[in-house]
Amino acid sequence: MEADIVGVRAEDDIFLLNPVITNNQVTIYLQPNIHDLAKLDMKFDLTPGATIELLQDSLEMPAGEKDVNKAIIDQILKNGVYYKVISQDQQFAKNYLVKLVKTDGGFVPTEYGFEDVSIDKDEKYTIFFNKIDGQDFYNWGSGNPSFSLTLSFGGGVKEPESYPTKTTTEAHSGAKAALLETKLTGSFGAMVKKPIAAGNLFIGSFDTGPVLTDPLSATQFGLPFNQIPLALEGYYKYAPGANVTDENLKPVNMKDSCDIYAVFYNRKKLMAAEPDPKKRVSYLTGHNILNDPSIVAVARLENGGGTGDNGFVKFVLPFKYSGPVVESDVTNLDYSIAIVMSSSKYGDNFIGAVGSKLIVDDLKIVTKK
Amino acid sequence: MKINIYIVLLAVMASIPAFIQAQEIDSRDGKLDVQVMLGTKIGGAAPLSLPREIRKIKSYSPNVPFFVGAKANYHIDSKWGVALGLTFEGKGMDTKATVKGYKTTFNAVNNSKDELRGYYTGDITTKVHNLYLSVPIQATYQFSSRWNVQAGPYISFAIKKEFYGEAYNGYLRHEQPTGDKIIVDNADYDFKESVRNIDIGLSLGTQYTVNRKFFALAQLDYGFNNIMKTGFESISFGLHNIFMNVGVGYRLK
Repeated sequence: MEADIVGVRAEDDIFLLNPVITNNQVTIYLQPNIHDLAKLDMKFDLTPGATIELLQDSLEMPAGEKDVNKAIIDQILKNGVYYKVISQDQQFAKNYLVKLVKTDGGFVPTEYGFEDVSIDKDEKYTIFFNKIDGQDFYNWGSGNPSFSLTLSFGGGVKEPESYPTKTTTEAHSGAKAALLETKLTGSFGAMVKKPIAAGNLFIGSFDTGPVLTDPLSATQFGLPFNQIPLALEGYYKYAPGANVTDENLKPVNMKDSCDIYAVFYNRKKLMAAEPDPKKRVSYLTGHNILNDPSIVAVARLENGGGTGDNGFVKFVLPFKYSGPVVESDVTNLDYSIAIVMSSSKYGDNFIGAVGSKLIVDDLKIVTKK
Repeated sequence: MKINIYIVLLAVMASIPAFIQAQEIDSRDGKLDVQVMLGTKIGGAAPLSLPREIRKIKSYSPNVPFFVGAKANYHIDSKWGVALGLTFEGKGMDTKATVKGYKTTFNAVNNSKDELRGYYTGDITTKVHNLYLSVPIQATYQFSSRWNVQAGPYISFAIKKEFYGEAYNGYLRHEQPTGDKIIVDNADYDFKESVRNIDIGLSLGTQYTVNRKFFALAQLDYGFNNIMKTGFESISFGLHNIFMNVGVGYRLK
């Protein structure tokens, strides 16, 4: 029945992080300075009894290229390659986009125009990614995958506009910007005491696993970053919804505000602090994104109130360092960065106003040269 | 509260024989006799064979395991007879099981439209507490002075329906076995609206005559139809009421 990739192994120690595996995508971050991938030998751990095969249609053989293995490696680095996992009973199959990411030279881009999006094939929500020099980087996560539960439950229409995190043509530059909107989660949300969903978008990935049991840990914030960030800049518009409510959908006498912040943390320190290898992770979650001892700098929008009718407002948020940073450790990719945006600042505790809308465009991490 | 209902119904049942007697049924040389009986039962709403989705049954206990009823027997000759009865009975069970890839839905309220569908793997409790008023029609055969057998169909009318439970320590694959994985720890389900109002089945039983008035009985009831309504998809296999009854009876005439 199930057809999952549950792990990826390679003979040599070539992974920088544990591969990031979602329900239909596997992103593998390589150690810096790994150049020879010709004899790359990856093994996928699957649901017991399941089998895996390359989805031949997804491989584009360049003209004149005879070496299939080389074509696979080239494409897996550039746009990724699809693999099909077939369940033991042969009745179910799932396609995974498998992407290898080289990390030398840094791979979390410093500028985001939110122009590149794809739509999830089954659930029809928007996924933000970045195209840089022809390569695709899937750096952004959002709560959209869990909102599909609300749409399934109430029989809502599964289309990109139904979700809290999506695009808008109301852009500061280019054709698109990111639009985050706080939404009602309907009868499903009411049942699980999570009546609203703030639109959110963050560097990292989203795990639907704990959305009912421990939603704060569903957001896995941060990816390795090899430069010292000085400021987070960008343009935004914010229109708070009229009525803020709490986790029981009872009115709260306050105005909604948005949240935009970035956190720079020592990933090596974070991981070393967890003695249990099973619990050791490379990311921060909703539980510790602003208070983990591994955090060295935070840049945060201080007043997330409405921006009125003034159009896009520029923000420049300096990183405030709480301790020293060893530059060579940063260069060696010991650190990670997380950017987090939300249409309701307290949306992680299900407090916010339905209809609050945050539009963000032309985000930039200013780094030390 | 629940117990009070039982007491009231037991009192009603106990008064039936008196009522029948009051009607002065013509016994015509012992051709008609009336029995009252009560007892306990073991069984459950069970699949006909253990489906592969159920990996382990961790616990089982009968619930509402009682019957109380009356039966009128008409003796055609010294061997054969026919019987018509009225039985008030509980058909229930509480189970805990470990399931894998169990197609189900979770809902907050009993509303078939708003539900979370998928395939669940983990632990699940199932609590079925249904009360029925049953009418058996049986052929009886006396094959020795102490033993007789009865067999025949019954029709049961549900007068109280409960079918609910909880999923815990598991996960749901949303909509498809390949869908998003969602950890489930205490999700409730309630399927009582989907329990059929009528259950039809076959009984096969025997009675052992202890003395002129008292007898012991054992009877197997097997429900032909799925106890869940047609179109109910939240359990992928049919559930049948299968119960073994044991009890004692008293001949009024």
